[in-house]
Amino acid sequence: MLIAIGLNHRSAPIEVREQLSRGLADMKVLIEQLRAAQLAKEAMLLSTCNRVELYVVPDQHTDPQSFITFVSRYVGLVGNSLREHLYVYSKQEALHHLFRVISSLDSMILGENQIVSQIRQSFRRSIDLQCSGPVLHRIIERALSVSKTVREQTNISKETVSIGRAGVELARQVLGELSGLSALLIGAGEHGKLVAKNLFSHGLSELVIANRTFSRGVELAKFFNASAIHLSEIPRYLDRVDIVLTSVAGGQRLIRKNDIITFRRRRRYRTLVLIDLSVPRIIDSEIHDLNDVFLFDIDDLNQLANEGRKNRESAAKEAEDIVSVETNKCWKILQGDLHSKNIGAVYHHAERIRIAETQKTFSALPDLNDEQKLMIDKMTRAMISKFLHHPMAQARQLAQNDKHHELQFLLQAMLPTGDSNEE
Amino acid sequence: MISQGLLIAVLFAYTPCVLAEFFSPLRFWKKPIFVWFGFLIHVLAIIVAIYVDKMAVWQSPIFGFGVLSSLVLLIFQILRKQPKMDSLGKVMLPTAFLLLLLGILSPTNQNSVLWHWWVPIHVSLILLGFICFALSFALSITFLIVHSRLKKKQLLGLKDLPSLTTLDRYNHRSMLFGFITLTAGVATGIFWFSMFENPTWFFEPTIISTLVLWLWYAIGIYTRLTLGRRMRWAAWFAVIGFLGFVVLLVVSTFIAGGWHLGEVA
Repeated sequence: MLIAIGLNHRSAPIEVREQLSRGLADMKVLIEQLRAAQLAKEAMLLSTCNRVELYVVPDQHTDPQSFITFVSRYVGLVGNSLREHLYVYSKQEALHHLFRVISSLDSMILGENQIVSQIRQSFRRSIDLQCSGPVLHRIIERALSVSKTVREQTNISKETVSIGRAGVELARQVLGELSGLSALLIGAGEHGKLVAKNLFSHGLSELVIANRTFSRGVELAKFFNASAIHLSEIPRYLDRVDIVLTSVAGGQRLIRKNDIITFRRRRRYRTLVLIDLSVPRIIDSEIHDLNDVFLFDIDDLNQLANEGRKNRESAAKEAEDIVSVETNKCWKILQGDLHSKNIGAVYHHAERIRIAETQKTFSALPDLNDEQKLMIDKMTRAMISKFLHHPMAQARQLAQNDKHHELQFLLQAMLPTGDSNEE
Repeated sequence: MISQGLLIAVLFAYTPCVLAEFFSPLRFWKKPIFVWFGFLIHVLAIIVAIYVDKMAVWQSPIFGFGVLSSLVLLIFQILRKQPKMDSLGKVMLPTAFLLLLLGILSPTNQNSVLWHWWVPIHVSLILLGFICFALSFALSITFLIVHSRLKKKQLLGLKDLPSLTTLDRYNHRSMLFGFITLTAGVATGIFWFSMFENPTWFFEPTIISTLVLWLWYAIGIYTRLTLGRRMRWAAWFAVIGFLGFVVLLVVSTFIAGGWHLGEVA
């Protein structure tokens, strides 16, 4: 019913992932070839920076390994160069894998939220290109629901894991919502830029950048749509801004306790958050003792980020349990659908035979009147119904007892090849 | 009195909710529905107190504390719908619980005071003021806890608590609103008081306490608006003000003989 084949950041280096992604980019041609080769009825390609995966609803009797051969040939990679990186999951395992991926349990950053929109977009694309169908639709709908359940019932996505987010979290813990607030970024270090970027994405209204090299500050200001100032202008901004970020290398103390005490009254004791990401630190640590001033350094941000990672890891165990339960539930539902289809196919097949034979009989007996034809029709219906009653009762019993293989065997035995659907 | 019995039942109803705030194995009882259940019995007790036991808020400390307690809980139940404000339960539930306990332990005597239609207006305004200061107290305690943890760099687990700015903003609004209603309440009280020919009970403890409270919060609001004294300063101000007032109220109740001693006209 479902096969997942692909590679991710753990199984393949980026060069191989890039090659596969480029090779599979044209979904329309891919699905046409898959259908022509009688390998798949529906397909969806998920291509992100960390994984390239193809989810297919196979045609009947398809060996999952044949997909590896197909993909290798299709992408143009010969020998074992792709094979050793590819993984393939089928049936319930494929469903479980998809649910884990969408719950970000398989992501490089555990609990990241981007994967949900990436899967949504991939599915939309497959609909637009007419590559998907009812089975994939049902599965993706269910996957989105599982993702929501995991994120609501566990903390897997709630904890801070990056320095940038940790900085925002601390600023918000003191200042609340960032809209209407302004920040001063001193220096052009990577950590400072990360925190500034995150502050902006959480609603910061204004950013001012001060850098030793003014031209570098201007360049950075353009990137952030901010304004640049000289280092000498910093005191003028200290009584205006709400957040000060520093990220310079090898500097002397730039902001001392007395500087802040001077500005406090001018600021009317408005709260100030200072985040010193420089090593060595350039803000006097005694500033933290002042009532309305809060000073955090890189260790504080790391502490939050590390704790966040630990919490996500313990939330992951809960999430795995939820995913396992949901996989079993969903699999039963899908099998139920499949068996309903097959049971329907048995009745349909029997009806076809009945109609064909009654037509033959009516042709051979032209003197039959309508009433007689009706009686023959009724008789053949009753015969079919009574004949199928016991096998169908058995089929329902097997379904209730989760004996899916026996059920599949029974149904397939009653249908000619080509009529049955396989899991 | 029937209402006193009902208030004891309310106390038992609130006990698991209060304990759930501090002991995680009991977190099932943190759900708002359990507080609402206790609150319903509480309201019933108040209705019984008014119509069966014929009590009035300003005459009977039992009733007075009971009403204060119920209003603190009502404010909390409304406020907890805001993001992270559920954490105020650690202060507001015990505060309401203690006010209720004080009421149950209070003397049962009622003081006779001249009735006038003006009285419910005066009482309602005063009560509203007290409730706002109780809210301000809870917000301030939470503020001081968050502030202390940020200063000590105990940064883990702060996400579930409101930000300092949010707490300070709510605190300021509570104090301001409480001050306005208390001022109106005091003004209506003075108006009511002026009807007495020979008022000898002006210097009773409840009135003194209320005026001291009014002055305290007037200073707090003034320093905030003119000098910009906010955040930790405002939080301590609110905590000291409310605690001081509760102490004075307890003195009035257990030592001075009751609220609004008054005399029959």
